[in-house]
Amino acid sequence: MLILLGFRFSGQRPIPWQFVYPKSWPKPVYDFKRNPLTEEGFELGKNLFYDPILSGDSSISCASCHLSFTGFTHVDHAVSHGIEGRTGRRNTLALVNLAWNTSFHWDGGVLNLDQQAINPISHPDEMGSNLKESLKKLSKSSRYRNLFYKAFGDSVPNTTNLLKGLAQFTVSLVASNSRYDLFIAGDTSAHFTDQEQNGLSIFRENCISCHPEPLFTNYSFANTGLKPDSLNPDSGRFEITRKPEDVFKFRVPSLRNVAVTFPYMHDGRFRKLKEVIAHYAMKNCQIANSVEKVQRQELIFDDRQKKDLLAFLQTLTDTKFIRENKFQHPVK
Amino acid sequence: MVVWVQVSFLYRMVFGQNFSSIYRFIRLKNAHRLEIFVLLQTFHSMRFFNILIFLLGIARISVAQELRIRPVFGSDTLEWGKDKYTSAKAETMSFSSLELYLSDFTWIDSSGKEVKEPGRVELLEAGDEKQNLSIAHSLGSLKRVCFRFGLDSATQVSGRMDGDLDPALGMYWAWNTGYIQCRLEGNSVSSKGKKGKFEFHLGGYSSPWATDQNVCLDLTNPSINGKQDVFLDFKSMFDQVSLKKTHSVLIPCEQARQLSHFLGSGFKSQLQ
Repeated sequence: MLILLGFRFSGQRPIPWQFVYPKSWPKPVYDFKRNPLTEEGFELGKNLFYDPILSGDSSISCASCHLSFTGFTHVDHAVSHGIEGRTGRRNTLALVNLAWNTSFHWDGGVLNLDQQAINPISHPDEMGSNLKESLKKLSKSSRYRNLFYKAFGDSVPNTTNLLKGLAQFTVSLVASNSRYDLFIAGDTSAHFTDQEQNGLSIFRENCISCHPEPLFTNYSFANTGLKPDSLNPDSGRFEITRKPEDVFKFRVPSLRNVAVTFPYMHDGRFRKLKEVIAHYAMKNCQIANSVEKVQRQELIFDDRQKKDLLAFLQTLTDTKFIRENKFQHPVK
Repeated sequence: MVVWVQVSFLYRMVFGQNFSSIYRFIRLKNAHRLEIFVLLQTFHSMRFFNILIFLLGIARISVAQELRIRPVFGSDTLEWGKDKYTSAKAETMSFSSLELYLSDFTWIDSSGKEVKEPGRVELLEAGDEKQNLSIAHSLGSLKRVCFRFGLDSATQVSGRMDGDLDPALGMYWAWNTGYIQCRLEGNSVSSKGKKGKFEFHLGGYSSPWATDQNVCLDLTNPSINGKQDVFLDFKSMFDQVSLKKTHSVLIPCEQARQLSHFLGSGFKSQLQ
């Protein structure tokens, strides 16, 4: 009897949708069984992602630092910007293909996409709020009560549904339609110039141990020999593991959309991709006081090779992804 | 579980309020409050649903049994905020608050009947203002209880954020995924912290600094009105740590691991 009544009032069920990705890619790491994707869940997540309501003074949204047009990152500043003009200490990471991530943030301190958003929401230098406060604001909004109800059958926003909603949106940010992808798939419309072809060869010879295709990251952490910034001290992965060998190690980021997701490195110190290539081609690159040796070979490129590599990296931009209508600001 | 969801759903249909906060209130305090609450609500309104909720409430009355964790210092019952406890290191201290996770329970009653509850998580809290150190169970008089002090790594990274695992409860570290297993705070003239404060936020679940540990206790105290006591002796920790040297541990590290094991060894079924 109770169950029958329950059904009578439960209204329409959310419409499920299937997570799609290229057949040649590995299986996603994200556990979709724990958070089954639905159109309503995605819609809720998108609204939350673009809404400053989550921040302490309702001024900053997720999208403030993760703009779709720049590959879901922020290109104006070296490090992330929060409420009241506060700045963080690390460069905003580009959101792309998160379903394959085994950890999140530059130091890998978060292991589950569902829990990731707690960090920016509660960090004083980012959205400067806390879950309780943000949920309180959301529960006062009839629009959000409606969106939560449609997605999860519960009009009262709670932590689980807030974070699952956000994860449904962010996990859907799959970029797999760059010119590189079309070229690899043998699409004749995606022509690679000689320079790009050569760049791909250079890339495969020198870069793929850390940035393997097709996701262009091995999801590890590496010390690439960047000189520590005394004004912005950051020991990276060590802060999480406390292992001496992890000092100055940072996430190996994916290179998808790399040409549009400047600035580069964990502290955004390089504004141009050619500076990054120059860094990797630098001789005798070694950090003083670092326990671990810099984890890379010295790469020897001549100027032409640098240009070719640069040309290849441009082909990793997925314009369709960046302009995808369903990822843009929701219509209220 | 299905029934409970339905009750929660119906409640909202009838009263248009957030049931989850009330549900949490009931579950954290004790099962009796549910019946009182349901009774009041039933008389409050004549609606049809309430009678069903009322009947469900009656069905639960006979099974309210609980294990109480009683904080002690040596053989003294702990009084929060009282500056009168002296450790073997000759340091005097007071305690202001305790929060801890217990999980994965196994209950065995005097007839040998065993109930396992893997995955069950309880956040217990005590201090000046709050006292919630009871865990409900479905057996009668207990002979033995086993639980995990803290949460295991699977629970820590599962992405479960329901009930007592809600990160909004303030026991969650956002910067380094994971829950604080145990938080113990107080004051001491020996502490070099601000205003003599000491704070131990003990957490960490991965090797080599996993802080969770299994505790098994053979109960000898009788069950009185469905309540049976075990003790958590803070002295076992503070006899081994000098507040002069250590007044604050706030990240997963070797010290956190050590201190949690000192505290974990303080679970006992009898006062000395």
